[in-house]
Amino acid sequence: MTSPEKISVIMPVYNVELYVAEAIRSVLDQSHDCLELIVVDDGGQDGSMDIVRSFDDPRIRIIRQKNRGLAGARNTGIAHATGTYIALLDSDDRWAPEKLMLHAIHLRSNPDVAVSYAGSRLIDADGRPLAVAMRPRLEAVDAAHILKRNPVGNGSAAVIRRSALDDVGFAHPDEPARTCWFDESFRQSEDIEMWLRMSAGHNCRFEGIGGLLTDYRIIGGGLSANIVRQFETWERAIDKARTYAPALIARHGNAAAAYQLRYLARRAIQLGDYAFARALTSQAIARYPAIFMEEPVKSLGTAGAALASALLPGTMMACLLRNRLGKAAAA
Amino acid sequence: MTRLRCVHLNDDFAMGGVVKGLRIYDHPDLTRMVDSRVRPVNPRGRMAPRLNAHVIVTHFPPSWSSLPFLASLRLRNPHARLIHIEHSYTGNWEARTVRSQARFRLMLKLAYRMYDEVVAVSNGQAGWLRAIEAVDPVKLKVLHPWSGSQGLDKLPGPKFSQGQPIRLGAIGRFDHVKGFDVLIEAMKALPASRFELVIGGFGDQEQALRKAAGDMANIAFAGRIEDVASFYARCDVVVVPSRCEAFGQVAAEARMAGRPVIVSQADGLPEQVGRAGIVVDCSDPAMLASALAGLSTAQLKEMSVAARMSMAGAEFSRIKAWQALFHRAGKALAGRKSRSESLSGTLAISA
Repeated sequence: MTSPEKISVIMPVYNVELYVAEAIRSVLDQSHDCLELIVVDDGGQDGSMDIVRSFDDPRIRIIRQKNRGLAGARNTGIAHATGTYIALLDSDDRWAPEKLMLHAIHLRSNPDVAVSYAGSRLIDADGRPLAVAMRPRLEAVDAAHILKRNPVGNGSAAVIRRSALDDVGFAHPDEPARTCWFDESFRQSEDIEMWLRMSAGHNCRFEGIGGLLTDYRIIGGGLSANIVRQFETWERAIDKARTYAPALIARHGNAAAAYQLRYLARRAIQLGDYAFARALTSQAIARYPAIFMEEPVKSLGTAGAALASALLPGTMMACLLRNRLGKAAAA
Repeated sequence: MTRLRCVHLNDDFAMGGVVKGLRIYDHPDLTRMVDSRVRPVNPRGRMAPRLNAHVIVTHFPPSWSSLPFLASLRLRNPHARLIHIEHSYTGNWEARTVRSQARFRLMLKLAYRMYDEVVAVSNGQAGWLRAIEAVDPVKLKVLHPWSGSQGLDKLPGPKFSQGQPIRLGAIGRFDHVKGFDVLIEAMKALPASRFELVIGGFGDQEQALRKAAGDMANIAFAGRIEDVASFYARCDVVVVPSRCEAFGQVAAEARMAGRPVIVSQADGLPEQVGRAGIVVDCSDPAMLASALAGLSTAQLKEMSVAARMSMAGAEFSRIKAWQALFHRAGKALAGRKSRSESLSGTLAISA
């Protein structure tokens, strides 16, 4: 028997004192215990780091930096990582105990897979599972799938082969001594930007495994203005991909935008901004009408919810959503 | 894996911290792995019993008079994993109490040699044990004690407001090592309008402490404390001015209750503070008084929040550490067993 691969868990921490203890417990409880947990203190102001330090485990390493945002914090963590595989965990999410073990088996037995991921349960602020889950496509995933649907799904699902990651590293434009894997000029959409660069730019293979192994936390609140900004940064990520994969974007760009708009429409419904949700849905349909053919149930559901919200009283709509989304729905 | 049988040997059930610390073995995550029993013993000048246990944990401090007990414990239980938890001895304790350092350290070395693992209750204590080479560093582990949350994690935090007096609290045995005499002296140097003190506990020094407090209206004695949470509810800040303190359960309890901690530099105390309070030289009442006088309301509020946060992972980490300890024990026992089996196999063939 070979010794188990060491997995470096990269966890940026920025003002998450309500959730960070759960995230850490879920790492230290992994059945694959050959791991290091690299906590990057991204210069927050709350008590999160006091909580991190309250865990007494030699596998935890704390790295402190001035605030750089998620991409910058992950880069700092990766730079300090010594594992064969890199696992990303946002500090408000948590893992099932067998997650790392299953990804380690997957990556070990498939040396050509660069990024291993799995589905996620959605949980609310109190950690209660919601009725909806993320069940992405797992097999035969190519760059077009990544562009259109981002099957990795969220920032706490992927376990990445270190050697593949190092193929896509580049020097920070303003600090040449600093290696970037994630592009730090992005404050959102940093995930999809890197997944695209890996798959379309460097031919990295992505493959998922069964099971819902991440609990992805949906926190209510937020602003519709953020949804606009989110779409703008997403488009900027696509523009960047156009520079090295023009054919891919020409062929699938519109479909990808429609899926992204539909996703944002669902976010808007969650926030209770139904008028905005309707606007996003009609834009999605305008960009790529075939979205109804490819994923009829989900698309009709989103469109239906957006339309129903125009007809039903607000309280009834909120009630319907709460049944589905629990505490993550707008009050 | 079969459930391990573990026996805890203890000689003094009056010691607050040690007895409270035994509660951790009733935690469901540990009872699944280990069946734990506590057995009172008097190890002085006696032989140890043969015990039906995979793991034997001793909680009493070793001494010259208990060496025969320890040696016979090893000999009579050759297959058991022997673990010692050092609740008592520390660098400060040695410096204050021990007359012949060489003789004391020799005793420690001889005693610790009987064990498979020696557990220090703080990094401060472990650092001293390493420095004096009392124990093989491979055998030395650090496990902070855990006495359960006792409702302290749910206690409303203290309210600090300008103009309101700060209610200081201290709790423990009334013994010289606890340093309560220094705290009472410090109170005399502080304005009675700004500071009140409530002292919980009992012990030999009670008369002396009451005499020292004299007729100061801002010092109260709360007597023996059964309900820990309601005691901490009476304080805004907890002072631990001990002269020796292997770990200092009180500082951990206070942090759990969100009370800022003002602690001495002794042994296991400073490592508990972080942003939850301050470390003060408590050998001089004037220093303690001026440190207390210098605390602002804003600082205390921040410390209070940090205090509670600093205990967030404590229970989880302590349980994990104990699980790891029992896991090591299980592995070592399995190794021992298979070795002795293969040995008897070889003998059978040669015969």
